Amino acid sequence: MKAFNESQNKIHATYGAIPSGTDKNDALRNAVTAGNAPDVASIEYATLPEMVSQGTVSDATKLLESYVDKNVPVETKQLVDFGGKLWGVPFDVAPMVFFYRSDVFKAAGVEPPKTWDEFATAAEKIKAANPSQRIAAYWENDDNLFASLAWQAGAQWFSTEDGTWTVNIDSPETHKVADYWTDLVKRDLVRKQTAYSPEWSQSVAASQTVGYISAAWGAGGFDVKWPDLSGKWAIAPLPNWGTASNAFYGGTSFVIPKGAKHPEAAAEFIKFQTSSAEAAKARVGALEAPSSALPANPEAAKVAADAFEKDAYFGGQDVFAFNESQVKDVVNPWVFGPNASSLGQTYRDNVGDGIDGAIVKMQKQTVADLKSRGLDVSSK
Amino acid sequence: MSSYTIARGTPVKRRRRGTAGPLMVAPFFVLFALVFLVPIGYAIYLSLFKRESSGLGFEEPVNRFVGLGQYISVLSDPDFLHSFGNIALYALVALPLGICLSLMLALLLDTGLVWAGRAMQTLIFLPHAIPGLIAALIWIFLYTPGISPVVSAMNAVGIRWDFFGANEAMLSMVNIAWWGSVGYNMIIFYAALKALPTDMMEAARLDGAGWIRTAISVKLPNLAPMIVFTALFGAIAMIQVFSEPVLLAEKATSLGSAWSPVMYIYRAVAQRVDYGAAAAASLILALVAGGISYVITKAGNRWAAA
Repeated sequence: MKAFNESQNKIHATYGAIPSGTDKNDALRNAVTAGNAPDVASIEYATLPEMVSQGTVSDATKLLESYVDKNVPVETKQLVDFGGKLWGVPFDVAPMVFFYRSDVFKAAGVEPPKTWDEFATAAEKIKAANPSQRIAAYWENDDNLFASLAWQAGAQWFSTEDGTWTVNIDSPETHKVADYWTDLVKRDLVRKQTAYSPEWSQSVAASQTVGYISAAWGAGGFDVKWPDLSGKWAIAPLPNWGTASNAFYGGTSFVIPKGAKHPEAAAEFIKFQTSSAEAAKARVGALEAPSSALPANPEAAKVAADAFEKDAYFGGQDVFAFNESQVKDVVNPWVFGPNASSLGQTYRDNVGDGIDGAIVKMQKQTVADLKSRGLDVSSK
Repeated sequence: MSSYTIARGTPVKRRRRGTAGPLMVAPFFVLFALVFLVPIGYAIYLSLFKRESSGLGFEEPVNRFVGLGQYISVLSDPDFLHSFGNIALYALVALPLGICLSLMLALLLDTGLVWAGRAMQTLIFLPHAIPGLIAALIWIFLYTPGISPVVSAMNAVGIRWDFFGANEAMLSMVNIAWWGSVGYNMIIFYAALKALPTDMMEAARLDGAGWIRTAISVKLPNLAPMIVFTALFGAIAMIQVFSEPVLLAEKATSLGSAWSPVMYIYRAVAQRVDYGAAAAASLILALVAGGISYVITKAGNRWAAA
């Protein structure tokens, strides 16, 4: 914010924070409905189509399309460009990666697994070497993670060819992912915990969970959460199903909400945030929570990479270079549906009885939901 | 104030109806209207509409008038009906348990036989002084394996009890409920007991009743109106339960996102952004709560008068 205000004096930006723990999409939607919309907001890729379909985001095609075409790779653009219009600007790309304890793996004689089969074997070896350790935590309640893993496996939950929504959540690829993780949990090879919970954080600090499936933005938080484990972690590509493939997990875009009072100024701010060197340096230099998010704009990414100083935490591995190398394997195309929140809730409500059953319910409920909202749906 | 005659026969001048009274009550009514009546009116208005999109849904949705359509769809939604079933079961377990426990404690304390009675009173009331949300959070920590010393101790002696399991989650919630409310109800009963005429107690003692007999046959019947009172308040609180199941549902996934009616309403707004359905469900919930209060009061008064 300060960098933007210092770099020019035509527009002055003020920062509005939403208390953490509040669902920021809810807060944004309420602000738009009440007529108090901010000029710029950030929305994650997964919920962007949903927010658009609820009338919360304004069409940014006129203001930002030429900028996006010039500065953002086309695979990332698809996450903000749908229905024939541009709805925002991608801020970061979030390819999935696997963080692991290099010291524990070496002691157990395990190489970072390249495929999911190798992951299962590695899990067994780690548990055998030390019964209280597990290779990773399985987050039963994280619907975003499950969606991303299905994405990596080649599932196509939604597509919008010829103007209708095709819903294909109940697909063999999705079930493949579900069965794999159900099996791992049954064999007690991964710890079942609530995502980002205190007990998970503590089990990592106590070296009982020695791996962590996350994305590019995950690196920044390590030093803040577990400073004593510096130097003991490394990053590896996410295990795959035999051929190189990856997906985004998380990742944010900047949008101009409906009813924003200064859309042109907002567009300028967004351009600054996503591509200027000062912005990248400011984000990475934040002492309390240095961001390891990989900017979508290649030039900004370079600046951020230079400024990021936490490579020592990962044994000197070049975090940004590694994250960048993972982007090319991301499966294309992929579309997020217009019902992300209730889809996630259906997953969480039913996953306790088994993921396979949850998948079927998700398919049924999505089709019913979209139809009752008046959308054109065809289901496979 | 109307005119009246004093015994001496001199009529008192008729007092003019002052404006002081209505003026003093006016602020309450203004606030009442703003905070209560206006939102209810708005909710009724909202409940008659439904938001609809078309095509791919990336244009702004339109508000369509659907009359009673939202009410019909909410009443035919199995999730909504289940939510009432859930809290009915919850209340059936938690309410009698809580009331019996607080009654017993109040009666015990009233006999004066308890050592350090005053201190005990404070201790029993203390849980109620903790805000409900904080209490629920701490209880959830106590239920979580890996963090909870209680769970570790239980595991050490071989007891395996999953507080978040499908069958156990409700009991975990009942535990949080009565822990917080027993102290409050006990104070109410205790105050009512202290207000009982002492000559009645003396009469009972003279008739040879021991303290148990006194408690059951003399004190209890006189407490009947109080019991109805606490049952009513308890029922109304339980029909609106929200924060405890929401917090618990993060770990006890079997509860789902619409375990209680208020959770269903919240979900309709937060996830479906279906204000009409949420408004319709809220009004239905208010009617049900009103109905239950009526039944409890009527039946309770009849029992108390008997």
